[in-house]
Amino acid sequence: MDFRHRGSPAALAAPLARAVPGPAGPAGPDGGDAEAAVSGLYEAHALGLVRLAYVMLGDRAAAEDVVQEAFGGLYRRWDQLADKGRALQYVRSSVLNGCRSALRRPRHADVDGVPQPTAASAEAAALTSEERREVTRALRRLPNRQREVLVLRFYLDEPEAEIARVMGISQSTVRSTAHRALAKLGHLLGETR
Amino acid sequence: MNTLESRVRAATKATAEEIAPGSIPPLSLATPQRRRPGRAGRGRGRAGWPRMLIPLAAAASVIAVVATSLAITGGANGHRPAKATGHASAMASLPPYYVQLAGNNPNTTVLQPEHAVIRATSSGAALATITPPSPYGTFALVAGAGDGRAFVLAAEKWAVQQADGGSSQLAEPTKFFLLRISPVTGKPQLTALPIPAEPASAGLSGMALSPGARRLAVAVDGDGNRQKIQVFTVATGSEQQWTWHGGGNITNNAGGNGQVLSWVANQRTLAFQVWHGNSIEVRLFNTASAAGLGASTIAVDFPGAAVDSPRGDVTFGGTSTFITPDAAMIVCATTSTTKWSTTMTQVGYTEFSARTGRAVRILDPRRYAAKALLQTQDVLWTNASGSTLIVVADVAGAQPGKYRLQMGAVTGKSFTPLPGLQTDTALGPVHYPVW
Repeated sequence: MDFRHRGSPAALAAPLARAVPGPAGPAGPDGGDAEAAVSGLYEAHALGLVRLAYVMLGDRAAAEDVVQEAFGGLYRRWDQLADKGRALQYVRSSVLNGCRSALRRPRHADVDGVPQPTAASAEAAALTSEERREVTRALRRLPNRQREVLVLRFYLDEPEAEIARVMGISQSTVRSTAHRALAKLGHLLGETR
Repeated sequence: MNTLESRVRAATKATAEEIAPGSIPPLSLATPQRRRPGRAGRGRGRAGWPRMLIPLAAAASVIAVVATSLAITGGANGHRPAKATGHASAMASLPPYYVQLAGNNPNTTVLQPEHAVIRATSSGAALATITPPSPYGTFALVAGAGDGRAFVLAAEKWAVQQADGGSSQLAEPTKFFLLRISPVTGKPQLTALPIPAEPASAGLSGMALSPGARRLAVAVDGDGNRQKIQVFTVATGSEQQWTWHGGGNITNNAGGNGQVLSWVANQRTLAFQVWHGNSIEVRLFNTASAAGLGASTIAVDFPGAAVDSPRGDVTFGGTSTFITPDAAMIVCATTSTTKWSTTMTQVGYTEFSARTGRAVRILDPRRYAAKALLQTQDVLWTNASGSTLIVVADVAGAQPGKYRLQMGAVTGKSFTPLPGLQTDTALGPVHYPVW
């Protein structure tokens, strides 16, 4: 397994959906094979999934909970998975579902700001911390569906077709939602688009 | 050069990198939840979804009346009365019951089917559980008429997309049900309303049931990107609808959670909240007029700030707003920082005159020796005049990183906690009760 991109958004993208080998032989929730396979998947992808949930939720503890729940669900259903090679897609869908569920609850304003990053990529460093704080705050003020579209599009760099599949909406709705989300974000940031 | 798209890309990636490699807790697979064997998908088989207390049979008729097997006992019909204290007197003026959506696993943040639980306001005791009638699998929203006896529940099919071995909930058409709790027998009764199901493409961003449960208002966001307000007559299902062309969104800063719409007792005037991103308006619309939503008037506006909207010396975070049934006040949770200092916050529930827009009074003002997190406070219910509210208060006692939310009744400067309605949470899951 290639760990070089562990935690990166690209590691969660659709093309890697088949990168996770299934366990050899039959396995159920009580089987060691399932535990080993799910644990291996967690080791490889938990960081990226927690990061995805954190971008969506803005709350680290909730993000970790969502990811733990998703892997727990994967473990419990391991023997029902027809295609173990798609386990990553399964768990990523579960994480996004978990985020939607959390976001459907009343949320709390991140009034006091966004913590500073512990490490920043060159791309991330292109924004000053204050700019990033503004963009992140504005992003978190979007309606849930608009935020999800933008995160899938610009954080995971997913194509429209994949976003449509994951969210259960049409590609045209993805486009229009993204358009509206960016327009609203521009308003929030005081931009004229 | 630095487009908005690239700023979003950079900001999200930088935010993600706050989670450092090696800082993720280990996977815990302990005590996996056993599920009964059944069909993989949700639906009729609903593996892992235990039998509900109340079997609700689907009916072929347009209006299906579904009797429940549990009678509500007590409360207005014989609940053990509280002692003659301030608590009891505060309880006496509140609606007797509330409805709260809940999943089977209260500790999970993963999307799960939700049922409705009827509880007594005075004790918090669960009195009945209502499951969505087949083929619907989950309740998504609930609105109350304010009397504690009539509610509308929006049900969805809980279709789970199983493509690629993954699962995600599809936006199925939403069907509305009326839940009434009989003042005579105390029994809840669920009735399918003769309202056409909302299409899958429509996202509901708000729902309000009028006093007397005669009219249901629904804010729809997402159907062809045209926002509209629909008003249905509960008894007949007849519909009026208006499209909003005024910019912004008919929603709130909680993604549509909480109260976006509210009714005046006259059954005609509807208050709705418009969020423009850098400003928030509460508008009043006469649904009996021939004019469109553009003819609505601004009752209270909170202009001019990207994060929170200050108005005078109070700041509104954009969560719930209610118009009082007597049409006199607009009520919402607010903070005030300018009066004190940047390190001292006053949190309260401000009532603005619906006629002049001026702040008239602040109920339950509390000072905090720190900058408060505005959205932890909210308003959940108001009596006819706004003299008594049910609110969410952020109280002390939670561990670092969490909030202790206590729901209670507010009259003047008095806050009376409601039993069973305290929760410590980092983000969720919290479903606010609805009266």
